[in-house]
Amino acid sequence: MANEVKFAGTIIEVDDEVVAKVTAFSRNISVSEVEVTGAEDVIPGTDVLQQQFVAIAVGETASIEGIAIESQATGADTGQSELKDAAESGTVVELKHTRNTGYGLKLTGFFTSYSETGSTTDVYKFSGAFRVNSKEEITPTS
Amino acid sequence: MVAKKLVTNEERIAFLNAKMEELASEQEQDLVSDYDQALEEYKNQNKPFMVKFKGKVFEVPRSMPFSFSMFYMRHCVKKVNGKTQFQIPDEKIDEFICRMFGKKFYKELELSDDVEMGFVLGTLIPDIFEKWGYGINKSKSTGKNG
Repeated sequence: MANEVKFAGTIIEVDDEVVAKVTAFSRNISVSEVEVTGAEDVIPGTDVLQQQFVAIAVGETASIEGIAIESQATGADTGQSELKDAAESGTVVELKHTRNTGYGLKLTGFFTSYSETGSTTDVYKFSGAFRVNSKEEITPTS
Repeated sequence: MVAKKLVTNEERIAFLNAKMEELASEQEQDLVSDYDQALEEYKNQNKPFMVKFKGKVFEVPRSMPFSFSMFYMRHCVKKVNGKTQFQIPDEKIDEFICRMFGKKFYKELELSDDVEMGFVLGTLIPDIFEKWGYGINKSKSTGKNG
């Protein structure tokens, strides 16, 4: 994972309940642009136009890895994590990462891709891409 | 399913942190290459030679022990006039024999008044070397000046 940053205190919540711990993630920004070149955008001394663009939309995704708690749902054991339950239904989840200072960032969104592998230790290792729809700062008092 | 129902977020975070430590510990163990079992299997497949001497049977390794080969290369192989010669330095003869035959065999040799040095250097040592796949001209393997 390129440019990944490790945060010790990064967790994922679904409906305000902690379901996973993130061990590594990288945030990726993509910007949609549109061309606005006009006849006046000519390169001086030539007849060639210098293309002009403006940003019209910004999107953000986060690639994340970590471990997720096995589903504690009653009834038939689905054999997967609570996080996968959320990912496969497109449920909105919150990714909170905080530094030792208590400050951090809460990212709200949903998974656009998700995979996990089971183990014998009551947790699943997962990796996935997370679409960030909104961001909110976390302060020590909140 | 998780054995104990995790109710609060504090319990869930503590559980995940504990699992992280477990996984980290498992990863560290995976990085260790344990050759003890491989060495045992190697020994079982390469049983030592049995050498009878003075009515007793001693074990000699199937091939040259690594420690002996290091000692041998360091102290006993000399280049003389561009030719490789095998010489055991006087002060290293004890250690050479002990490393080659093992302590029990060496003790037996040391206690045997009727065993001459020529027999050890001219017969025993070249024979063992030959078993290990290293031919030595017996007529010349008679110590430092041999």
